[in-house]
Amino acid sequence: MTRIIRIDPITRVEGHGRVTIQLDETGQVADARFHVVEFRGFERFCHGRHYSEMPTLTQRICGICPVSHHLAAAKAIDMICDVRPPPTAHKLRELMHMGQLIQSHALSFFHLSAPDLLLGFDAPPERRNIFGLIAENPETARKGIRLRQFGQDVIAAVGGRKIHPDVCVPGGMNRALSVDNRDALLARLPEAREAARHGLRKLMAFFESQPEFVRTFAVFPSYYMGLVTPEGRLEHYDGLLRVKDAAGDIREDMYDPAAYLSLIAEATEDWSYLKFPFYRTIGYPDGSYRVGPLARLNLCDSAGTPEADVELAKLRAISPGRPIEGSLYYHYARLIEILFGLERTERLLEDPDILGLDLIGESHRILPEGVGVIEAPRGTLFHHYTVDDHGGIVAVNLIVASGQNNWAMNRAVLDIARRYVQSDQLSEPMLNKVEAAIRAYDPCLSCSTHAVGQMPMAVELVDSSGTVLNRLTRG
Amino acid sequence: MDAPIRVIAWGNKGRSDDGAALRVLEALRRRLRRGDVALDEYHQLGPELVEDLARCRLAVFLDAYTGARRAAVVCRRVRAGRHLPMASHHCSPPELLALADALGYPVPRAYLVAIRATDFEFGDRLSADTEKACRCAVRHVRRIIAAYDAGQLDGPRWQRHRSTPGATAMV
Repeated sequence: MTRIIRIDPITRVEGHGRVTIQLDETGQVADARFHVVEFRGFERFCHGRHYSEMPTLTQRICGICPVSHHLAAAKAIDMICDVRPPPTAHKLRELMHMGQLIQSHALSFFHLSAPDLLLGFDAPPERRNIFGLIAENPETARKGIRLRQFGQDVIAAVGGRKIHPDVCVPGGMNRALSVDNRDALLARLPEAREAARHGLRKLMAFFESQPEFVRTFAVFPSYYMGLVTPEGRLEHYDGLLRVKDAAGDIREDMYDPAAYLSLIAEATEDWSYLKFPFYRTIGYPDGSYRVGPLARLNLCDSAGTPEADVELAKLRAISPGRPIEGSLYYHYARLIEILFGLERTERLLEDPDILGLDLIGESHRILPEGVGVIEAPRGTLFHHYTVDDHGGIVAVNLIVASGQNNWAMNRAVLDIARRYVQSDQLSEPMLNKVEAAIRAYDPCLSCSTHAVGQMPMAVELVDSSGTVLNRLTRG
Repeated sequence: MDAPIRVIAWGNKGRSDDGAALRVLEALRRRLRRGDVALDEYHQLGPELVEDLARCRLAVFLDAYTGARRAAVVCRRVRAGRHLPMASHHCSPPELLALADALGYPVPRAYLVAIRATDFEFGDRLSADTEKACRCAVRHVRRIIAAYDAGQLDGPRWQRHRSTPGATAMV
């Protein structure tokens, strides 16, 4: 008799998802699936709206990474207006994006994942949360909060407010950065960098304490996709697409992001609202790829900032010449990217252009289509709009990071379920490891389904006849 | 801004009545021209707010509410929660206060003013009932601030339990 375990809802991720673990007649894990069970249809909702509204409308998809949607939409409408923002506007957008990267990664690591990593995956669930972390290590919790706050304040300094800034307009920005705001942020950078280093030290201590667990946790080959600079360095706001295979060989390079439909396609499964993007050349599912912090660090030749490059070299020493495949290394990559974000923030703030007042480029024509691509904290984000002669939106295609990691999260869940779940000994720590496999990718399911809601999580254990044998619900 | 009084509103203006608290905040912005009152607007509450909270003496949380209660506006004292998992990217007022407490920060006196909401469809307009409730909520926030100014928040009016359908409820 086959049996199924469901984890519903999954905690410490954004959105609403469920895991089902199916057992075979012998009680071994036969299959495991990560279902996304919310649906919103944002792409339809935007039809008929004027293209200039898209940066404001689409950032409402998410309260966690609204800046990413705001910027991707802004880049798409720049293309529709056939205009390039002036250097100041470009740099302000990148600066705001760095704020987004820092605050999102800080929340993911210090609040949502640190309880597992620093208190232990097997710690009692009532203690394995931010309050348990505060009790055990208040300094880490406080640094995490202040780091996240710094990222939010970067966004507020550029965008006027921490969440849903409304500053990107076709061809640029509608708000300059003040000297006071710049100086205030510069003064806080040393503390923020120390917080990031503190996080790295804590994570390294965990890695060193459990090397076998880390080395074998949800490790699998895949393709990787993301943006790099024309020089092959780490890039988040602009750049060109690169695809690497599991051996580390570059399969596509300097690929025009606007031509993404020739590069990737999306498969669907009848058990999830989340689509499964794949690399067209290989097909689905063999061409499934990963995006996000670890993918970006696997793809780039270098970070391009001194401190991040030192850490990148340490990361690469784990698997010389080949991509790092272990899902837990996403946390490591996230912290390296925080360092990178802080270094880029410093460079941008020290650039005289950042205080410039030339904020909007001139547009002379409207094109029927625009594609905006950026590296959101969780991975590559595509906004693609088609407009009619009056600038009304007639088609929207959004491909978000968590969707592109859908296959990887499913694969990670299956690996962990096979390794840790035994039907006759179902336990909370066992199921927490399944959740942690998903949490490593820090999915935002509200974004990926463009859906309303939060993401509590559930796990269900079901036998071959469909009978639910066990159910663990949280959130 | 290090203001002793902080009004924190959150919601989504693109989901009709879900934006009620933000409408109340806009009204307060027009009427409350005081340097000692910070008016903050959020899509959701995050843990980084804890430091802002720790620097104020009075916090008023503004949100939309739905469910069985019928009061146009519900106002209640909020205290630091216990045994809260904080399992998502956002948190509730009791979680925020608990976080401040756990971190050893001062915990302000806090109230929640919740506006009854019925329509959460896509749209940027409030339903008629919620619009009326918003006016009531503005008055209520001003009353809380006036009571704070007068040092009356420890008095019985702000401690008692009152809940009347269709009217402001103090719970």
